[in-house]
Amino acid sequence: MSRHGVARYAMAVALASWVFPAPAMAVDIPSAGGTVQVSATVPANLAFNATIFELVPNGTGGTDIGPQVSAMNFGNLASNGTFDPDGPGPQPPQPRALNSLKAFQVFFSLNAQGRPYQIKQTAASLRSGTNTIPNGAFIVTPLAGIGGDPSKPLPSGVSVGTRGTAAASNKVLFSSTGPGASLAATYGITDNPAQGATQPIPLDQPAGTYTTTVTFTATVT
Amino acid sequence: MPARDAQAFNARINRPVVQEALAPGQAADGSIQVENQGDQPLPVDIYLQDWEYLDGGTGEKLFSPPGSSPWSASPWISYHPSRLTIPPRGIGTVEYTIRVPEEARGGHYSVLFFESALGQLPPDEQGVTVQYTGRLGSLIEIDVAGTVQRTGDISALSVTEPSAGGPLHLSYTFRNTGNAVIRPKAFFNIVDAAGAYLGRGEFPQLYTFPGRSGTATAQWTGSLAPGDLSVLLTVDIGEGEPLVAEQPLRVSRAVIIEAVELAAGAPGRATLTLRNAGASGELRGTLSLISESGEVLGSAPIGPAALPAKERQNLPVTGLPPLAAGAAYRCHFKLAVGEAASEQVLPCRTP
Repeated sequence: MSRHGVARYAMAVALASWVFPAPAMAVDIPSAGGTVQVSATVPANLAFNATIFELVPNGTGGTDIGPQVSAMNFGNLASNGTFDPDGPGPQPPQPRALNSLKAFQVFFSLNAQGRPYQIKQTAASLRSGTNTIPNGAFIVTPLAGIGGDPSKPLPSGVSVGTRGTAAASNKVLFSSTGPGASLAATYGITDNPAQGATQPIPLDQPAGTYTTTVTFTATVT
Repeated sequence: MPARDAQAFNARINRPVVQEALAPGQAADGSIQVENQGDQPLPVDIYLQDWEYLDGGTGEKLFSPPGSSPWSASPWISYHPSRLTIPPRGIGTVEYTIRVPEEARGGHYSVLFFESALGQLPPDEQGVTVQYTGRLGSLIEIDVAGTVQRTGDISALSVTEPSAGGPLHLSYTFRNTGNAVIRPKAFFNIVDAAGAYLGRGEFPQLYTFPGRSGTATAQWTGSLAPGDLSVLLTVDIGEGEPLVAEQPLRVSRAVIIEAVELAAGAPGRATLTLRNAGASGELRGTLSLISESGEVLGSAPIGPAALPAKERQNLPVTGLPPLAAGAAYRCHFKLAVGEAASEQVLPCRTP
């Protein structure tokens, strides 16, 4: 999935301005004496922003940052395209497993006033009644780079979690020894191992409304 | 949902950590403020969970239902309210009370979460919808005063001899033998036999729960003279005397081989780029060529030459056995500067 770095970076900067306002300070200036004491306090806040955007095809095979959304509505899954299981062998191309035509990018901003912190996510499997979409097809990819832009290196001390199923408890997306940053992760439903899939969604997956909830958690370390 | 209606989680708490030292039977109260930094009302659910650091020391935490952890403080904590709706740019306040039981001992831990469910869209009739919630956690850490033991030991310390031009690799393992969280900070010093400090560095902080361990690694880049050195580790565990450990470090490589250029021909020739790691004296040695099959093809002397400490020099070596063009060999060096001697085998090839 290619992305337009400019759009992403602008979004990251905008988010950073929301979550990194000028710190409130208390200034105490006593009136007596020939010297003036000045003190300032930076409160021990923890600020966290999580905003979701849809990724939209840009017509060149990649995606751009699309509209902000309140939930990841992947819509109906479809078998988009075919694959040839034995290449030039005798078997004909076969339909791909079910995929979502949509993907989403979550931007995170976090300010822990210099303290180490972690951003985690927890989600249950996508379920419709007793039916479940294979966890290995619901993939989260924490992105390296400010706002997910690989050309903008993250500050030293920020570690990026591993790509894998989003249907997981306490999965670390990012951890930091202190520096705040604008961070991003993508969510997709795919059968493509290159995008992290470890399980396909079979073509005969029972129809239904599949839902789950992702909880993003921010705490200091 | 149109973009103008889309919601985001955008909040701030003023106390990401609440630390209290309370005697058995004692109580304390306080408040935590939650600020809605967004432009729409923010409904917030407030609830307790337990937390603990996982083994390994990285600071990764496990959250679990309240009262499920042996170090849980959740049953001691009451709070009000359990749900707030905070207006745009507004602030909500949650009051809490901590009551420590008479029989309590050691450190106890809980987390008060402030969670907001956003974007509760009606899902498609058929399709996949992922809702999301955001939450901020205020870690509550209670030391039961007079009963806390912050003790631990250094269960491992390792130092690898620096490779040619590479850094020194160090690691240590801390085991928490007390009954409360310990977040050790550790430093190392490299000293010689006379006690002179040659280098210093810091390990990343570790995060440990009682009975658990953590391992930290560090690197040190610099030049060390050959000899018998020591690495002194100092671990600050926040209370009492720091823990100290010592690990011997032998630096045997007097000369660092930075480059080897072989020239085909009969006899063969080589040009070496050598750096004196810090020894004093005259450089001398031998270079032996070994074929890929392991046969020793022949040797030639290196030096004697003057190579002052910390200096770099290109040295020609002549009299090697005949070398074919484009051939791969192994170069076996025996080098000494003064009394400091070392051996090294490197892959090498002719152009």
